[in-house]
Amino acid sequence: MVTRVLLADDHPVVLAGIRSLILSDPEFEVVGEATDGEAAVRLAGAQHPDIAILDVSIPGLAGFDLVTRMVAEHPRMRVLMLTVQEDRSYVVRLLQAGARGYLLKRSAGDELLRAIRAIIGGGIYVDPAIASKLVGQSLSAGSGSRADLSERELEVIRFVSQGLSNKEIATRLELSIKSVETYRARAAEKIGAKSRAEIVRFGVGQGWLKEL
Amino acid sequence: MPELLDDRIGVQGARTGPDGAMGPGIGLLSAAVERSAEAVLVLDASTRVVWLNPAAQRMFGAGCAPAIGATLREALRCCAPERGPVLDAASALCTAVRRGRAVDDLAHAAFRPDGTSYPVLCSSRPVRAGGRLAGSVVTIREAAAPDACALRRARLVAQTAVAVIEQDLHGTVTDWNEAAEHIFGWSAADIVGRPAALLVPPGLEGEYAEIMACVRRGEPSVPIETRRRTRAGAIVEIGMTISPLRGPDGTVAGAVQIAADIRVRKRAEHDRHERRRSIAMASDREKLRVARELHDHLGQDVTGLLLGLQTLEAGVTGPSARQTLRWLKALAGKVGEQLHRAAWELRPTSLDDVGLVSTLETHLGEWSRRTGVRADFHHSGTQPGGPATLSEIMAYRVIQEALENAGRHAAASRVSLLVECHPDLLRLILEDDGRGFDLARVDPSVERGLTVMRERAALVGGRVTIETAVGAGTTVFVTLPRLPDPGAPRGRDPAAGSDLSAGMD
Repeated sequence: MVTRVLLADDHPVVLAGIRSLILSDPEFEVVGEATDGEAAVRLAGAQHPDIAILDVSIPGLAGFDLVTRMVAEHPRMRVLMLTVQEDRSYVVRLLQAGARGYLLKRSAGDELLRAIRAIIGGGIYVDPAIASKLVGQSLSAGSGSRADLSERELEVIRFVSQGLSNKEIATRLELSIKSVETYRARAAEKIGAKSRAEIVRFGVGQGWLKEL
Repeated sequence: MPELLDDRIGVQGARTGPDGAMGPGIGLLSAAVERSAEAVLVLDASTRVVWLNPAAQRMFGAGCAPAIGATLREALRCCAPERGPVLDAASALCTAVRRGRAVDDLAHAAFRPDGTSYPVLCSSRPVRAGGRLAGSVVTIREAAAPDACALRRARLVAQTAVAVIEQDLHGTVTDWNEAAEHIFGWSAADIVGRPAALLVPPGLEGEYAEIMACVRRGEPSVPIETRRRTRAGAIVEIGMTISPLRGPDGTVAGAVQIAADIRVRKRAEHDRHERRRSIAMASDREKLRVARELHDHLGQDVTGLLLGLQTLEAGVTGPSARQTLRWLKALAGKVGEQLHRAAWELRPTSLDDVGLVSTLETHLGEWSRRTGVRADFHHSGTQPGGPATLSEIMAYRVIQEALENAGRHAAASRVSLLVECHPDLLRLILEDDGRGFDLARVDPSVERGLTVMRERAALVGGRVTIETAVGAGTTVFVTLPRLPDPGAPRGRDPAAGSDLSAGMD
């Protein structure tokens, strides 16, 4: 069975490139091309494609809103987002909105057909260049317990998590900066935090940081 | 006259003549008083003049002859009707007389018959009879003519462009020069005798009280820049110091406030700052434009090229043609990647398209990959949306510089970047566990980096503080106010809709 594809991109060169690549494989058929978001929604209604390949930043209805609308109106249609944007937060939000794939334009030459097949096959495709960019985040902080902390260590680590400098903490608690450093190091070790960010996450877990 | 002395109040000196009793000495005494060049006035307990010698008559006669029975205040006012500060000295004299206190050499003025005035010094001694205050003897002598140097100094104070304000320990203004009148709008006559705190605008009372407490302890204030309120209620920016004034015995008797109007300088500073800001904005807009050009246009063409080459692949069969095609694809791919990197380094368009938080996280990830240092990121608050403000751009630029510094010098194994987006300010903390440094002896290249960071923060009224010590890692605290700026509206990707926090961590 031939897979029916809808294309939406406002760059004619890219549009032409995608079309020729897709048409080079007899498995696929291009059923419509749009250069703005509204046209893409209309074409999807008229043509019932199996998959829509959407540029994230086309004019008019675009990005997050476009994905949400396409998915709501055509629940059976799959959506693959094509973008130059290499930010992780883009991916997360677009996938949450219902997109099934996220492909960088610079990988499209090699990966487009593979991505389409993966998505049609029921999978989710995230560009490997993006996946490898994720900051190594340790979520382990907070595994330690505050029960082991002395009163002083608790105070110091609370202020650290709230963003105070050692000097500010020293002033507030009437301690020397050296003592603050020592309490902080001991407390960090007890709660298993290896960085300031982990101390902050521990603080969040303890409810020490007010919501911004 | 001598009878009056004896009968009405009884001068103590008269009773203790050389023979220990009233005798012929009294006549000599009264003659001496009559002929004295000093004016002598005898007052009763209610400060009314009951007797005065010919010198006093001469001194006061030039104004209006005070009848016996006038109060001292009336007599003195008559003597120098115009002079504000002098009258203030007169009221100090009147108060002393009324309370039966001895005072010496209070400055006043008297008039010559030709109407010109000359300085005099007034002293007073109480006279007691039967333990209660019976009256006073006031003597007034012509003050020695001030020397040329003192006159010159007095003129200097009177005519200088800086306000010179003298006040007593209660904060009451006792002297006030013309520049003070010019700056603050009060004339000397209107403000002498009133509290100097009248000039302190609401909100700065604490600062003023602190300075005065310091002055009372005998320490001069450090020069500060602050604001004062004019008589009309306008606010002026001034640079000032307040220093203690010591009396002859060395104790603090008052304070002198020196204040200069710095509005012109402040305005020039403000203008310079605005110019720097607008240059920074223009430079950023230009970088953004070029970055978009690279990223969105050239980048798209490279995408088209890659897609076209991929399409060709199915039809190319010969091994050498396939090899050429692979090479072309690799080349086009490399061009695309370089375009992306160049655009990002110039100005991440994602600052506008996705926001500061994601841009920083991505930048940190890139930095970590490049340097091999583990990076840990945490943020709180809602990511700014819409076209990046100058504050957001500077937040990114400061952290970019701080990371460069850390990469070059810290030899860290781990860094943490924390971003807090408060409604009215951005707070960023970058901490590394590297070798740290001595803030008192900073390596010139590190110093340059710190200066760049401080300048970038200062551009939006923010500040950077560094906490570090040798072997203790380095923490950079950045606080920037979130100012709206008058920047031109810029395009923004709607994918970066409202709330991004849901997708983070």
